[in-house]
Amino acid sequence: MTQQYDAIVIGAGLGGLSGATMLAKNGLKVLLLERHNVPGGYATSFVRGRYEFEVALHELSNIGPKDLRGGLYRYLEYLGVAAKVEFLIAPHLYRSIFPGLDITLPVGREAFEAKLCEVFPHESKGLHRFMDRVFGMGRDFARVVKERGVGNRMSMLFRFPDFFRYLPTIWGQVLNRDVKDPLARAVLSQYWGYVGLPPSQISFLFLAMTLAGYVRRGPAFPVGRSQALSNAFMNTFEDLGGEVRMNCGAHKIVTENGRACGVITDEEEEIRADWVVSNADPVTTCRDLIGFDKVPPRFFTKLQSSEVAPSTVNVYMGVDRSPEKLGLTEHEVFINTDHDFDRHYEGTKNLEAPEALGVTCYNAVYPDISPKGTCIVVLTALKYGEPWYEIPPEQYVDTKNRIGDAMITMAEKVFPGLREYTEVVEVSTPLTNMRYAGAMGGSIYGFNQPPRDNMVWRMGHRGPLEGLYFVGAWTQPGGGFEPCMMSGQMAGGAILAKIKKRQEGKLDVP
Amino acid sequence: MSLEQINWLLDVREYRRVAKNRKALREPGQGTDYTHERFREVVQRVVSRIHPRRMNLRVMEIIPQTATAKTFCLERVDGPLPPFRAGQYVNVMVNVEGVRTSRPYSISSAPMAERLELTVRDKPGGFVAPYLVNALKVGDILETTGPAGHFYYEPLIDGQDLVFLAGGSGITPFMSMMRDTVQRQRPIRIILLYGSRAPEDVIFLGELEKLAASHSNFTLSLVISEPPEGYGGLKGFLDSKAITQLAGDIKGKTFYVCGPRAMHDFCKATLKEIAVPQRKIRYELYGPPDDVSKDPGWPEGLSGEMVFEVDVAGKKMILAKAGEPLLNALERSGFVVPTLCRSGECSSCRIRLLGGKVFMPTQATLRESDRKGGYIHSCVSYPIDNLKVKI
Repeated sequence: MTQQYDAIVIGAGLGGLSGATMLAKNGLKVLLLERHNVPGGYATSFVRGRYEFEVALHELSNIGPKDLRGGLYRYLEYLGVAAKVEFLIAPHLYRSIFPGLDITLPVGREAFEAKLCEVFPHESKGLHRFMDRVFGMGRDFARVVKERGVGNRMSMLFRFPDFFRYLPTIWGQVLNRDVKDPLARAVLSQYWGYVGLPPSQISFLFLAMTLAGYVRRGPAFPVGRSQALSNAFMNTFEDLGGEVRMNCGAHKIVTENGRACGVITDEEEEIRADWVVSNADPVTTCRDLIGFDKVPPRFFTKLQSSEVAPSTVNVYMGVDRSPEKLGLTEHEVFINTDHDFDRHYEGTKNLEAPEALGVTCYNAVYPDISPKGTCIVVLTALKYGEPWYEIPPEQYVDTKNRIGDAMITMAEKVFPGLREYTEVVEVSTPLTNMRYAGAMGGSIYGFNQPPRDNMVWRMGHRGPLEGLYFVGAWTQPGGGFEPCMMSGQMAGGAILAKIKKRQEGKLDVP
Repeated sequence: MSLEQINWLLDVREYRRVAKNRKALREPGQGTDYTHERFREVVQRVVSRIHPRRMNLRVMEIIPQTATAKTFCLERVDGPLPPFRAGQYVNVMVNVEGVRTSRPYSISSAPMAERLELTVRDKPGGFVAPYLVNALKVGDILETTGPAGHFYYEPLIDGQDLVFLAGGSGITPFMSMMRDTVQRQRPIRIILLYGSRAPEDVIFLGELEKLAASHSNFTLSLVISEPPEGYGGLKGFLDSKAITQLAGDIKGKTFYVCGPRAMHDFCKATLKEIAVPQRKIRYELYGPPDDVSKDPGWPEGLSGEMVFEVDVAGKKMILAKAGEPLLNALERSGFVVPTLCRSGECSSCRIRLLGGKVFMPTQATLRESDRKGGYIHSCVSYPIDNLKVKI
């Protein structure tokens, strides 16, 4: 039996949820397929004993407090998702620890710059100048998005000078001109872990947008963890008339005359639709779901210049002690062995102890996340997925525990007693990410984001076949919670624009 | 020309560098070739080596353990056995009397062993265990999930002094853990307190005694609750006196409890009494309650025999007894719901409750957002009203 939908969305990660909701909001008849029994992809949680752990979210960008709502919040509001979730805003950005330096940075541009200048007075001129560039980029980019397609390309040069100038640049290259003190550079680049590449390689655009977003509106966290956000999307989608099938993936995308026109589900049912939106990674989508022979080879040639981003090793700890007693008063702490981020990055490609660590204690922003007198601590280190492919299965547990052990030891130097009071511990690896989210390499950011694959130049939403669209971290605008949700809006918007054109008779084929 | 103007030129020159860089990577043989064989179904291939979703296991040998318990020695026919952590279980899928259902059983063999062993005890009133113990033959194939569960020795935090409190067939995960300790020569000390109803119910007695005799870091104490006349060993339950006497100083020791629910409740109280901190106790799951209507919070006056209508959204209307997990009623009506622990913890059988009320005992560990959003774990949800659910 074949059924007809306007659109089928494969995968209920945040990109898929957002895209499906966007389309349903605009009146399309949408079917959402998800292989797992819980929606959200990485935006989920799991329970061990009396603790419920957030899987992936450290902090959301561009939500903002009530009087300063950001773009993401406004989008969630438009969909009707925002009304179903409550957000908490952290007072501080992060605490950054290096040998000889321990600095906590506040939210708000003025306070942020004042704190940096207080610690690095000799750099104050350069720091201000650099933050001007960061915020200039933020301002210009917001306008570019808003005024897309207005005027010709050359005029962009004059209308959005900072955007035009820094679009092809690398973060480190811009930063190193303004700021000379390597420690000050490192503190400013601390969010590199959130973007997957070190300052010497990451696109200026992406890290600047990340930093500007957090500094301006503060890091946000949803009450009920990111699963609450995923559930809110799901319920909104269903309320809008969307149909969901959990425990049911798609194992083929049906094509006809070079056009994607439906899927075959894991239950061997063929379902037809005008549009197929894939939240799976593009390689899995085009190789395994569609089949090599049906995809123009040019697609894979273009993909050659994109590389899979890192994955993570996480140590989830339920600790039977109050965060105050452990000294865990900040939501996000970065522990660095030194300020050589290039070396730390090289370490993400092997199976050794990491050189840098994120310590997230959710209780600082969300006190009710665990029972009174306890806290939830998650240690995070970036690690590429590929080295894990080759580990003999019987050595897997020992390997992950060896790395997890080193991470706990590293965190304990700053927070004594952490291990002793731990009641529940769980170590996840790139393979865990692959297992639950199905992402190639367990990548948490889709493809890496050097300038050639930055928010503007990375893979778009239109797939290599007519009718096929991509959402999620692999596509524009990129990796991270906010970008994934925005990718759904962008892909959904592109499909809606095409439908509109068709209705206006500007296109003969859908 | 000012420095800033020079920098501007340098930045704008990057357009060329980026374009050249991208073009070079797209030449044949450069960049990442995603058409290469190593990317074919890469996620599934890599993950299934460690976490297969399903396994087909052939029964190679059946070893009677006691009058009611048997060990099934199994070999995987659809790939190599995956690694697992001693103490984990597999969920065994069966078709009994036309009903497709499943039950989790702890693995009793050590992780590196060539065969996977499950030891099952037939219990009165059971549905799947009697079938396995009485009907399964050598050569039969069992379909199971991959190994799962969180009841294992965790060297990251568990220390080196372990106390195992086993009750009845709850010995099985400990057997795997002890065999693993011996095989890997882990530097840990184990004190096993094994409670059984009668001496003839003790499973693995021979092997346990042998292990205790040949390894100084392992001590065994059997405690019999209904001893025959003239029984010379320890008698009674694993109460505070028995534990403090047999396990010695509790300081630094990690306790593991596996057995029937009554024993769990008893041990929980006992360990609290002797002041073992909660963070030093690990509990294995024990399935749904035998009689949920005795649970605290069960609606007063409601009989477990009461029958309610369940509207499975868009599919059909079924009947379900108050005293039986909703999951079982769904399975009996032919619905396939994914399952794993069947004890309320893993959330595999999570479904959405659209209308009506269910009772969930405290062992159901729901996500906060699921609890608020009306999701339930159907393996430990009991209808106390007419329901509407969505699978």
